[in-house]
Amino acid sequence: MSLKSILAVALGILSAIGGFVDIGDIVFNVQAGATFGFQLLWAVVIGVIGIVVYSEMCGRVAAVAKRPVFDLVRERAGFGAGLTTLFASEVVNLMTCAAEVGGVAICLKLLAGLPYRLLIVVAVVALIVCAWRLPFEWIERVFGYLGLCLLVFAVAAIKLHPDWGEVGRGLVPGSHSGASTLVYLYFVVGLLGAAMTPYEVYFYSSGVVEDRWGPKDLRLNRVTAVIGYGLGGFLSFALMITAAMLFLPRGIDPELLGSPALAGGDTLGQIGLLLALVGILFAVGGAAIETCFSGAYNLAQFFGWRWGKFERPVRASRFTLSWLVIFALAMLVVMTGYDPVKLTEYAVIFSVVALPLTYLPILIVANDRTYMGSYTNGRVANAFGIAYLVIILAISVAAIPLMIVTNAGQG
Amino acid sequence: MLAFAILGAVSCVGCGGGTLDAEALSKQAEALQSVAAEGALLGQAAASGETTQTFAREHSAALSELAAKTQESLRGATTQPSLQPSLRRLTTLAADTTAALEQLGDATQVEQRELAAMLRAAADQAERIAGS
Amino acid sequence: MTRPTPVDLALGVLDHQLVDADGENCGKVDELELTGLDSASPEVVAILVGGTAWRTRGLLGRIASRFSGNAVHVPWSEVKSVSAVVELKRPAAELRLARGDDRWGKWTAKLPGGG
Repeated sequence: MSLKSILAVALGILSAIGGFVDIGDIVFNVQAGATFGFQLLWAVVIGVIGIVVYSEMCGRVAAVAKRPVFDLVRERAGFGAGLTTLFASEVVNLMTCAAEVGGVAICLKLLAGLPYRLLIVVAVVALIVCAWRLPFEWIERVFGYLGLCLLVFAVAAIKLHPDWGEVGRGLVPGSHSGASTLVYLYFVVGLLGAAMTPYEVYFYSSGVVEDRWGPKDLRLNRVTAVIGYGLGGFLSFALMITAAMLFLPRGIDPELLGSPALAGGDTLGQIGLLLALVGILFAVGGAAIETCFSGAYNLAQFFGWRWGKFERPVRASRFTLSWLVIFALAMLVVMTGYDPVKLTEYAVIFSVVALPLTYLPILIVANDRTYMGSYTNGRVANAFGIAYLVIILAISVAAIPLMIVTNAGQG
Repeated sequence: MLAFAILGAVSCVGCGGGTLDAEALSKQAEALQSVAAEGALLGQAAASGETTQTFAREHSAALSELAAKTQESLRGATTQPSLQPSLRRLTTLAADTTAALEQLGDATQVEQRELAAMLRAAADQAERIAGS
Repeated sequence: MTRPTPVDLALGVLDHQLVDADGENCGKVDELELTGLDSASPEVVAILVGGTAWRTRGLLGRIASRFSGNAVHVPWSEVKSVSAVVELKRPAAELRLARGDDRWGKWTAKLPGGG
């Protein structure tokens, strides 16, 4: 393979996972680092492995059965269960999309200084225009590459000279110091929820169907999942480590989206600050488009409408109007002035509550021979799948009580 | 329905006025310490040219809003007699922090360095109140 | 005559994607109309799509059916094959399916670049 084609494949993989870091990851990883230092790095590892496992399953289902996973939820689970899953998914999707849109507006304000409500409209209009006019490869490239500016946090993490031995110890779950155990558990739940967001796997599986992947692409599917979400995990590490070095010693509890950008400024001056802001802006913006489309995909796939990002709007009209309406609703939510960072925390926690509903059908379908033929889950995939289902059920039950008892991590 | 109840329950901590016990006072002090410390960090960064002017202005404005929220919570609050001095000190600190953060955005680099030092001192004082 | 392969109606047909002669999505099999249930050979008469077809699909289905119009009856004779999807012999428009997309298509066509 020539260097050029290796590069092309690598870039293709990187841009395929546009939302590798979204506002949920940023908020929870930064707050976890500021509260517990390196002691929650292991939770990021567990979360990344979880989404790699389920993303690979979704991609495999989409490539072999030629249908995206949500399409099959109704077939397998029936109308009632399917509609419940749809309703839960749409509510969480809308909250998440609104949080991402709010995040974009905040970044624009930190960069340009214009009034917040004006920037909300600017953000939504810009995102709609991008999604409407740009071919999807371009959207993935623009938001994916510019989102890579987040790598400035990796540089910052290194330049802040953490005790790497302590960092290593954080990769293993152990006793913790600092705030209470309940707050610690709340962050475990939040970090897992932020890493394993369902909209990403549904969006990915719809894309696999539209790009007409087949059984021969299963290796690419595996590589894409590992590299794409692995990159997300790496960036989450960087965010947590910089927060631990910058905020924890000063007793700062970061509540603003601009706070982590100070790490860029501290280590690399103005350029570092700007790279951090641009990285957050485009990672969160890409995620806004992804959540919005995921919501539209779910609706269309449940009701059997025509759908697809490549379809002409006049033909897949209900799908098109769905994503436009989702963006409009998201804009209204953000316009109320509700803090997007707070909204993010609620969106992630509610997403955790709905996780079993969204992940169990994936595991079932991936084991179904009628759809998968000889490509059903092997023993390893099932071992991981079932282990994670247990984890997901546990955090799903614990999520809301923990949020209430710890006052969303404030203790 | 449940969602609204949860939201209501969670967002009501620190509602203005009312009686503060030692733990609540400590929590307010911690919140103020955090905002002041971040303000000091921002001020230092801005004074050293590590931020853009727009970022300094916008982020300090956001921080001053947070400080103002603490100020509002403390306004008209009462506490047991032994904690009265601490409450008074904290209320003053909150007002000073809010004011300093409001000035930070448009200050010159020299002024920003001074404001940063002032905010760091305020953070230290708030920490002492929280710990006591 | 070859023996017809048995098809599990519940798992193999119900809630499956309907695809028309052009390969386009045109709804889901929301309900099946059967006759002769008390005879020796009951048979599927029609596929019901949309709206009132949801009335028999549980409580959520009853609620959903209130917000939509009448179901479309697709005679079983229109079915070409049953596999992962249910393929139909004719285009959706001729069977009065996917009318929602056509109806809303008038609006999206008005948007710049929507056509």
